[in-house]
Order: sequence, then structure tokens, then C-alpha cells
Amino acid sequence: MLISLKIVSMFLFLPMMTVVGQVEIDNSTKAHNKIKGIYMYQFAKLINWPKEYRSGDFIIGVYGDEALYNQMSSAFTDKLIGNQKIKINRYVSSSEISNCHILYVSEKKSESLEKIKKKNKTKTIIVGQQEGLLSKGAAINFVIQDSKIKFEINKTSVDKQGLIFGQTLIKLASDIL
Amino acid sequence: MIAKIKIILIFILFIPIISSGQGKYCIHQFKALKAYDNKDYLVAKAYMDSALVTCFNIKEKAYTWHVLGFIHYAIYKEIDKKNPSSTAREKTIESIKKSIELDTILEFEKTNKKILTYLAISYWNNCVTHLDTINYEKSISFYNSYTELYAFTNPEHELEQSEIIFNQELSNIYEKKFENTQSKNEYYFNEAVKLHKEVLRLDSLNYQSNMALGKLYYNLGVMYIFSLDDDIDMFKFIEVQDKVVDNFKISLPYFKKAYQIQPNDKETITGIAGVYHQLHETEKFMTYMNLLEEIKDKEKDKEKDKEPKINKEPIDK
Repeated sequence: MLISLKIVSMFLFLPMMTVVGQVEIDNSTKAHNKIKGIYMYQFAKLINWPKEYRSGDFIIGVYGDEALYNQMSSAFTDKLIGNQKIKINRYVSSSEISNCHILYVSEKKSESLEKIKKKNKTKTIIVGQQEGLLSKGAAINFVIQDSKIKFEINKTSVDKQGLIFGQTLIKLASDIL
Repeated sequence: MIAKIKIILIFILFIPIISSGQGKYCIHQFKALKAYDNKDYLVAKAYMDSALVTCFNIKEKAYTWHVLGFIHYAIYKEIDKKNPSSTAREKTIESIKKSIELDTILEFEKTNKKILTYLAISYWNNCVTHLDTINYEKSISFYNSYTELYAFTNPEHELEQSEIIFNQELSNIYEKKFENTQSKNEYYFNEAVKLHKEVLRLDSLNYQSNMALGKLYYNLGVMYIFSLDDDIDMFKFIEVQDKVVDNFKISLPYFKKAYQIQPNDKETITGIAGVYHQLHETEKFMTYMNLLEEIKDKEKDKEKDKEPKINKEPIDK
């Protein structure tokens, strides 16, 4: 006696799932701003601020880069530098800028750097992002090296302001003027 | 005297075995077949178990294992209702394989292979239905059973295609697990990568796996950035940036390969543009962004062409 078998084929097919994760250019800009934001916050922490800088809020200004302002504002507002609360200010016009501890000037606003420097020469650490900006008055300049965001510093000019770069910043700076 | 009684008792006990085993005919097997016909599969199995113990030489016959295989199969199908964890399925395979091994004249070859093919498919189906973030380990086990059995029954067939499909789907599960776990367990990331690389070993021009690897490394780079703690030690911060850039650089050739395969795919071009943007290579970023715009414009033009247009030529001249 042979046992017979009727095969009803029921071959299930794997559902082709949507591939997880998408590449978004927006994410890329956000990632750059996250890095710049951390740098700015670390600059604030790693610069020795004289006594006269250590009262009131700690002001970080952002001029000409709304996305960076938004990122920094949500990440750092009310965090502390010493016992000072961080405030992030956004500036649309250079005339609005005053009393910042640190000011970021975007690449597209770099041409107004000298003007800003004249107005804020005693107090503010100006951070920019354009080749040769240190010689135009920026204390710190973001540069791209080996596909990474790094920074160079103008120690001479900062010394004149009576501020002192911490050793970590000096060690990590890609160039020192 | 006692020794004589003992010998007589042993002789009496073995009478049924000797009587049923000596001839060609095995009463237990006959009863098993009858029970099978009556759909009393568990009874049929019990008779076959007795037959294996009592009937002489029965274990050497292909038919015995063929019958036992079908009884186990009926238990798997009718009693266990094809429960994926039913042991009857494995017992079916074991019995049928023994039958094939003993079937030198290929008397049962066709039906034996048919049942194994059916069970191979059942493993594949279980593999599919268990392929989720909770049951994926069972799915892997079912897939392995499927490949083993399918290769046994169809040695001439390649399993490449199902391996590609399974690897890609499983890697999606690992990717989801990687993205959804708080600790970002890199084991899942590495497993996803390993599976896609295996696909590319089989088919280097596989668009989906090239894209997936591009995205995996790209997104890992982005993830490292977004998970940075603001108070990170600056030296560590620089190290992380190195790691981030390495991942973007690894992702690029995969995106480019995908672009080579599907040059008009917007997602691929976005991927390449994204990497160049992350690497601060503005010129190259712009090149691909312009390419993306060109493709979008072409698509818009095509859509426009599809729209009905008014006939400006007079119909009657």
C-alpha cells in the first residue's frame, strides 16, 4: 500500500519592507550645527573669563545663521557657565550686536566682521568661519580640515583682550596666531 | 529446576515477536496502516513504534520509514495543525530521509521528495511569518531548516535568490532593533552590515543592499553626532568626529555603486549629496544637488506631457 500525498503549494513571499532610514540633507546641516554648537559651548567653558565677565547672564550671540541659533537655543539656553546662565541671542543686523561673551558670525556675514569688531573690541570673543578670518579680527575661526570641523585661534588678540585660552583649546587648535 | 522455568518463561514472552518477525508480514505495521486510513494517527504511530521493536528486519526497509514519515506528517498536519513548534515535522523529515537512504530501487522517491519539498516550504512560510523584531531568532532557525531541507531535496537548485531576499529582510529587522534600542547595541548594526555584505558577495550589483549599506554607514555617522553629549571631553569629541567622518567615507562607495545601477534614482543621489555635504565637499555636493534638480525637472516635464492637451490644429482644413 502506497501512501499518496497531495501537495497544495502555499509559498508565502516575504513582504519587501521599506528600507529603514533615509538620508536627509537637513540632517546634514543639523549635524554640522550640532558640532559647531558643542564647540561654542566648550569655548565658553574652556576660556578663562576675567572677573568683570562673570556676572549676569552668559551671552552667546549668533549673527546670520538662524539654524545654528535654533539648535543652540534649544540645546544650551539656561545651562551654566560657572554660575552664569547661558542666553542665546540671535542678531539679524550687526547694529543689534552688543555685550556678547561669544559671538558667532556666519560665513555670509563675514564682511561685517571688522565693523563688529570695532564696536565690540573689548569684550567679545568673535567666532567666524571663513579662510583668513583670524587676521580680520576673529578670535576663533572654524576651518575644515580632513573633512572635519576644526578651529584655529588668535591667541595674540585674545591675550590683548585680557582673556586666556585654556590649555585644551590651545592643544586642540589646528593653528595658533 | 528454577533455571528451566526461567528459560520457558523467556521463550513464552518472545513468542509474539518471533511469530510476527519471522515472516515478511508485520501485524503491527498492518494495524498502523489501518489506523492511518481511519485517521487515528496517534494509534497508527503507536503501532509503528511496536512494529519497529517487534518485527524482524523492518528497520531496514524503506517502506517502513516511508509509512512512519507519513504518519508523523499526518500528526503534524491534522493533530498539531501545522504548529511551527510541532516536533512531528522534524520526525517526518527524519523518517523520510531514512526511507530515501534505504530506497535503493527508488520505489518511494517521488512521494518522499514531495513531502520533503512541502515541509521545506512550510519552514519558509514559518520563517516569513516570524520575521519581526520579536521572533526573528525563530525565523532564522526556520530559514536554516528551509535551506537545509531544500538543498537536500533539490541539490541542483541554487538558493541564492532566497538567501538574498532573506538576508535583506533580516537586516532590516536588525536595523530596526539597532535604531529602536536606547543603548544602540552595535551588534545589531554589525549583523545588518554582515547580511548586506553577504548579499553583495552573491550579487555585487544588488541595488538594495548597496543602498542599504550606504545608508547604514551614513546614518551611523549622523547618529554618533546627534548622540554627542554637550559636556563631552574635547579630546573625545575630536575622536568621535574622526569616527563620524570614517563612516561617511565608508558609505560613499556603496551609494556610488547604487548610483551606477540606478542613475536616475533620487534617493541615491540624495545619499551621495548628503555624504559630500557631511564631508564639507561643497562643490561635489552642489553637483549632485543640481543633478537631483535636473531629474526632478524631467519628472515634472513627463507629468506635464501626460496631461491632455488642446488640439491647436484645426480639424477640418
